[in-house]
Amino acid sequence: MIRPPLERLVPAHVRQFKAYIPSRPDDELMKFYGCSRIFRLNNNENALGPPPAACRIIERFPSRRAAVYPSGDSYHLRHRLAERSGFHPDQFLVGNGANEVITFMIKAFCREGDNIITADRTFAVYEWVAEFSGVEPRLVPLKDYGFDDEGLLARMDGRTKIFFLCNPNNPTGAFWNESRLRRFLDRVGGERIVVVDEAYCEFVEKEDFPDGMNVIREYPNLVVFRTFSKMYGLAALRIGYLAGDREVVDVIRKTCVVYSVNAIAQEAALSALDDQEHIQRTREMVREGKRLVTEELNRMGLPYINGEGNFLMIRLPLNDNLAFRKLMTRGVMVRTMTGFRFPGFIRLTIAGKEAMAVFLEALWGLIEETGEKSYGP
Amino acid sequence: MNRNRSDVLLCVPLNAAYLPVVTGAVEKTALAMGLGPNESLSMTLAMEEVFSYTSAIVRTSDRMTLRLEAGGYCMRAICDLPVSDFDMGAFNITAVVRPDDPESVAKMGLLLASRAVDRLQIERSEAGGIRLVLIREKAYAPVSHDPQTLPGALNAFQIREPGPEEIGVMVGLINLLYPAYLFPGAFRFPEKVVDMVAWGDLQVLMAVDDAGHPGGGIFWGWFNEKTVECAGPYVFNQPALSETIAGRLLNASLEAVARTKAIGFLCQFPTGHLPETEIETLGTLSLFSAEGPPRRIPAWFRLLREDPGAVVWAHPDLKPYLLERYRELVLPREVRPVEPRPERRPARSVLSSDVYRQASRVILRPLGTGDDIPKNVADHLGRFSSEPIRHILFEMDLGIPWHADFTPALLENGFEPRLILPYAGKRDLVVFQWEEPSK
Repeated sequence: MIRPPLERLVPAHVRQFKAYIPSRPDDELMKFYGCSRIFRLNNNENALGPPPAACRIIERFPSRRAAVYPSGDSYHLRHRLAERSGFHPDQFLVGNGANEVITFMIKAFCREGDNIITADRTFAVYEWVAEFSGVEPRLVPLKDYGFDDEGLLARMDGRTKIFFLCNPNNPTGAFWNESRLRRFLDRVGGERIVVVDEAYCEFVEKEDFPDGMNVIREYPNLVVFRTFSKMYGLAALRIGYLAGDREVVDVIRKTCVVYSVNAIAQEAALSALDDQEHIQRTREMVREGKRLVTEELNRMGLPYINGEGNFLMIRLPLNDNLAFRKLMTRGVMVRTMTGFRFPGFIRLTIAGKEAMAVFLEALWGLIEETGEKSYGP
Repeated sequence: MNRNRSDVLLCVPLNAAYLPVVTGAVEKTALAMGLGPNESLSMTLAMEEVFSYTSAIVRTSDRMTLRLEAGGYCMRAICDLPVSDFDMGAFNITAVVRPDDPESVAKMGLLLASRAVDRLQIERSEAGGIRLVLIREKAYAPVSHDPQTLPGALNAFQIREPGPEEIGVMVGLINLLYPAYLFPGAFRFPEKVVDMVAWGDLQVLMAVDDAGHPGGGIFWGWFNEKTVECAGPYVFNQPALSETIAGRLLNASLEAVARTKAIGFLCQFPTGHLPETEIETLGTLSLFSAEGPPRRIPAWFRLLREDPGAVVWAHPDLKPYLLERYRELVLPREVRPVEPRPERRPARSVLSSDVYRQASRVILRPLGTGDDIPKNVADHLGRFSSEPIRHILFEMDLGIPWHADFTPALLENGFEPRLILPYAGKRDLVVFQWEEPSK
């Protein structure tokens, strides 16, 4: 048997890359951690699930249609998105989750030696895709937990192709308002692509939060990402999209893998789009959940970062990965923040009352075990 | 930095006639890579032993690929031997060319080679053959013991990477303010640390004020493929800010490694400033010095990723230790028993030896199981303890079931399981340490 010479076959930027290991399924985790149920409060999913119309699509999907390919370019969904926004349907590209559209972007615009610029403590996938594509990710420290416009611009050079902004930022929840976004776009000057990832925009209730879609007409170098995994509760179906200037999207389409979005996802997303009531109910749940949690955190004396989005970050008096394991034994799964370069923090997804109560009880147990300590963020 | 720029590659038949080709190449390359005449000569002698030994035990049609790498502060010779039908047992460091010849016992080629270099590592190569790695370091001047001015109290500080001169100052302060067991042996040579940082084998951050006064520092490098090892945090005469400086240094180093391929962060030189709430203790290792009784040094650690749980394999004799430690560390593990299957074993077991001369340390790792495990473990122990090597460690990978075959022999020979390194191998590694029975 001849083994492939991996040392020679694999490019250095792939060899150096650390593969992401997703969490195991619940049954496996329960076996290892010895708990009888798990509240998943780690992925910022919507605890209310999908909107009712989307649920009906999923429940009634005819099994025989599983044998038929879906629309290769999410035709109906793109047309509906176009109707809502006044854009042309070809200004949208739908992908197998927003992660896939990140890959489309980097493939379309970057080659080895180019760079992308983003923050050091934000959604990791921009950095990862760049890294394993041989593209340099330039990381700018956050300022006051938000993207630092001056810092981002200072790192720009002749090989910079894309800025990735996360608005509101995951995991801090800080956001840029419209005037700040416009100022940044003006300073970039149209020579580079600016991506604004709005994965959590539907959760934001602040009036000055910008809708990136409204800015695209004036800035053809702006590309906006949206997802159905968060507010719309369709994370298991993997569907997200990007919108931008038609010429720019035509270029990105060249690197897009058609047929990657399944039929149920397309139809469920289409039916979910107009459900304002679902958005209101989810916002109420998040508002109430944050109130409950922050009140208790104040009583515990634990610092936290409560920005926009269905999550908040908590500074613990012990290392976050040990806290993860201890919370898991109590049936609560949170996201550790060391991987986001916030060691000692966890990110909590805000869910319904029962889940929040179980989390808080587990956290109280952890605090009592650890002893009284107070840490600044 | 393009690390491969100055590599030298040689592919030679494993035939004694080619010995001068190898020794000539090694000596000239060592000098070209900046080693002094003495270090070049000892590297050449070590390679002479390795080549003579291997050419005597393998088929003459086999070839050795020799890569000579500049390492900034050292030179590495990496010898790859192809998959062949030679007896793997010959790569036990205690092996001799002719086991039936009593005189040849005194000529253990690999052991002799290990004495001439700073580190000799014998391991299985990615292609399935054997890889021998020899490392010879440059000679450096030891730290000066001239009186040094301690930094005054800082009002404010930032964390940043220091320049070469600043690294030298930091290392001097560490030598002045901390006992030797709280920093790596390399820190006795400031210029060596500067070279290690420049080469990328060590990374460093310092706490410093606007005027450039150092308030503290932390160093880290790769312990193995999945684990980063840190030294510090060190704080330089800052009683009012020591907790803040240490906390921010530790956090900054964790942030720096958070998205690398590291799974664990190990602190084997834990100063009193290490914030204990941020880390966990995995166990202790004994540190022997020329004078005084051994000192038990705790190994501190933290995972850098969420633990999804794992199945590990262990001999029944090790299970009670594992269950207790896993419970204390809250590590979700299913410990599956491995029963020895003598009928499936080859005659000779193989151990790799990773010998660090300056630290007087050897780490043994299983390369193959066999019927002679008790004798093989005893032979290695006998050889290294008589060198004398003071720290004899054994790493067992709980993700490789046959590694468990070594458990009874280790326990019978006085090795004790001392700590568990989560996910440092295929799964967790258990580190055993041998301690001479008290007389």
